[in-house]
Parts: sequence; structure tokens; C-alpha cells
Amino acid sequence: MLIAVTIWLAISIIIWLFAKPKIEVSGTVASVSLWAISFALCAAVDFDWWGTMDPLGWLNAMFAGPTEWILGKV
Amino acid sequence: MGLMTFQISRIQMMILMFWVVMGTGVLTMPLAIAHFTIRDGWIAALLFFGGSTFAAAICWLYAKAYPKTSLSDALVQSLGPYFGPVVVLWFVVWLAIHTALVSRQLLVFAEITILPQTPLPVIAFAFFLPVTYGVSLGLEVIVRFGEFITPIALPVSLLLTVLTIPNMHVHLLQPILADGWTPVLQAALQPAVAFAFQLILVLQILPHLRHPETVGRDIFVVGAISTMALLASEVVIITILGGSANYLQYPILEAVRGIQIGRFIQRLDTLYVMGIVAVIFLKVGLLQYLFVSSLKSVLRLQSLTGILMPASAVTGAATIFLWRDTVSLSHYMISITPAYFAFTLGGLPLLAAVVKLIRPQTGQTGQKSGSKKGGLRTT
Repeated sequence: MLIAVTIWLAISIIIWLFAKPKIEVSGTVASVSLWAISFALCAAVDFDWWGTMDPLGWLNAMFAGPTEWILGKV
Repeated sequence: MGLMTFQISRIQMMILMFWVVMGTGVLTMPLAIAHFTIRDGWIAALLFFGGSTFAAAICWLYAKAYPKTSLSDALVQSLGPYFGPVVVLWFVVWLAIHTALVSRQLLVFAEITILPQTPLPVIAFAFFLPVTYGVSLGLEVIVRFGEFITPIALPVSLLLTVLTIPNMHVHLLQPILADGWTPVLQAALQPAVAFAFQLILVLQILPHLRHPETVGRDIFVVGAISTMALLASEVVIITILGGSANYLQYPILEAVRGIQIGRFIQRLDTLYVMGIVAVIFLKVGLLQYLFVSSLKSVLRLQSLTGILMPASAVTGAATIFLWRDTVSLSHYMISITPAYFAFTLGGLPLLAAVVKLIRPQTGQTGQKSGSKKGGLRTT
């Protein structure tokens, strides 16, 4: 996955070089942050950083209970 | 491009929202229903109409309060410049996770049906290239693609349904309600909430609608048509597969695969696979557009261009990262999405509308500032 996202980044840089857009500070910060998140997610998958941990555990903790409650009531 | 002038007509909006529901709905709703009941699944499909009617009511109420404002902008206007963006961020995270979910459903579908030897990241890479290109061209291209695909997909779907009739065994529908209403209501929860409430996503593109005042009525019609489509697919599945539907990943695919005309015309599921890939592409295109434009709105960026590629990289990576396997995917769909979607898609528009009704003067003041900063009107 890291290879895939690196190729994706390379394509993005080529498009950016050809498009020559105006440099916008907030847009650049947002862009770099999103790239960092995507690389972190890919690395987490490739190196199994989180082991058996559920990345959506927080949603499970918040919403699985209410769903079960409704299913139990009907 | 040119989105400032582009306005979505009523029929375009209805086509778009129909595929937002049925794009993955025809694939995964039967699976969710079969988890609780097989024989009475068609009644659960009918109850989808209740959820879509509720969604239409929310759209109607919201459009009364904010006739020309997208959901993310309305949240900032109603909840203020500090708490508003936090709530919008919750919505943006929901969009990212949901885009990843729909993409993962397509990747698993493609892996099982047509690309069994190809690793998921490679399929994801190939899938997100055209999606990102479509999003870069703007909402108009996504809407036009919906218009293009519908005259092809609907007659083919109808034809495939008619061709399955010889394989149907109507007695498999009986006895009706032998196990009571409980499994039917449990089966209806996921379609009637998690799928029907996705119709509320239209509120994010409300400024682009030519007739935003009729959005409630239009969503009601989309809900009714989607109910008919879901009912047809459930009847086909139950009467052809019976109890074995519970053990299949894609019951409707197996039902279509059974079509055989003479000795030579068979494996029409290829047509079905092509259609599914096309309509899920449409759905992911819209969701990715909404994700990127909401992100632009909350970060107050000047244009989408800088974040298009990295945003696709995030959703593409999240597609693989968030669900370890199909078991965790099914658990998420059945146990989490009903309450999560009700809270996010039902709760946020209602919250914005109620705040506007309680404090109308705040909404008006915010509307002025909101129109200056970060709208959804892009590029």
C-alpha cells in the first residue's frame, strides 16, 4: 500500500507541476496533512502497527449499544 | 468547472439520489435483511419506505429553514464559528468513513467476482484514479454520469428481473409472518435507517438544486421508487434462493447467475457486475465530492485543486485500513451504521433547522457571514 500511495503522490506532483496553481498557505497545509494521514494509514496496514485493534472501535463503543438496544426493543 | 452556473434539475437530483441508495443497496441490503429473516424479507423491504419518508420530512423541514444553504454551511451558521466547525468536522469524518465503506464494498465485490488474483490496494488504486478525475471535473460531471447510466441500467435490471421469473418458487414466500414481526422489524432497521437516511445527503448539494423548495417531495418520490426496486430484488432473492440466501455474500448475484435461456445464453451476471461497478462509481464519486467540498468548506480553502489527490489517498487508504476483513465490514454495517447514521444524517440537519427556528435572528446574521466564507460553491 505504501508503494501505491507513493505512486499516487508522484502522479499528484506531476499534475501539480504541469498545472502550476497559485500557492495557498492553508491549502498547502491541508494537502500536506492529508498526505501524512494517508501515508500513516498505509504504513499501519503494511507493518500491522495496530495489531488486532479495531480502528473503528470508538464508533463501536458509541453506536453499537444503541443499535443493539433498538434491536432488542422491536 | 462552472459550478456557479450549474443547477441540478429535479429529475437529475432524483436519479442521483436513487443511485446513492441503490448503488450499494441492491448489493448489501439483501445481505443485511437475510441476517434476521429470509421468508419475510420482502416485508422488511417495504418498511424501507417508512425510513425514506422520515428522511423526506427532514429534508422538507431543513429546506424551510435553509432554502439555499448546504448542510455544512448551515451548521456553521446555526452553531456559531467555534462549535459549528467542530460539528462539521464530525460530518466530514462521517463522509470519509462512508466513502471508504462504499469503496471497500466495491473492492470486495470486484475481488470476488472479477479480480480474484489482484490485491485490494491495486484495485483501490485503479478505482480511485477515475473517481478523482471525475471529482476534479466537478458536480456536473457526476450528475451527467447518473443521467447517462440510468437509461442503460434500468432496462437491463428490468430485463434480468423478468428473466428470473421461470426460476421463481412463490411458495418460498409462505407462510407469511410465521415467526412474528420481531425478525422483520430487526431486518428493516438497517435498510430503513442506514440506507434511507443517505437520501438526506442531498442537503449538502442544496445550493446547486434548481428547485430546492421541492426537495422534500422529490426525496419522498425517490424513496417510493427505491422501495419498489428493493422489494423486487427481495422477492427475486427469496423465491429463487430461499433459505440459502443467508449463506451467500451477494444473493442477488446468485439469483441472476441462474438465468439460462436455451443452451447458449447464460452467465448474464456479467451484465449485473458491469452495472454494479458503474453505479457504485457514481455513488463514490458523489461521496468523494461531498467529502472534498465539505473539507474545503470547514478549512475555508479557496479551491479544491490542492486537496483532491491527497483526499483520495486518504479515503483509498482508509478503505483498506478501517476493516480488516469482510466479517468486520458486516459487523460495522449491521451493528454500528443504524445508530451512527441516524445520529449524523438525521440529527445534524434537525439540529441546524431547530436552532434556526428557535433563534431566527442568529441564522440570518450567520447567513451573511457564511456566504462570504467557505461555501460549497467550488472551483
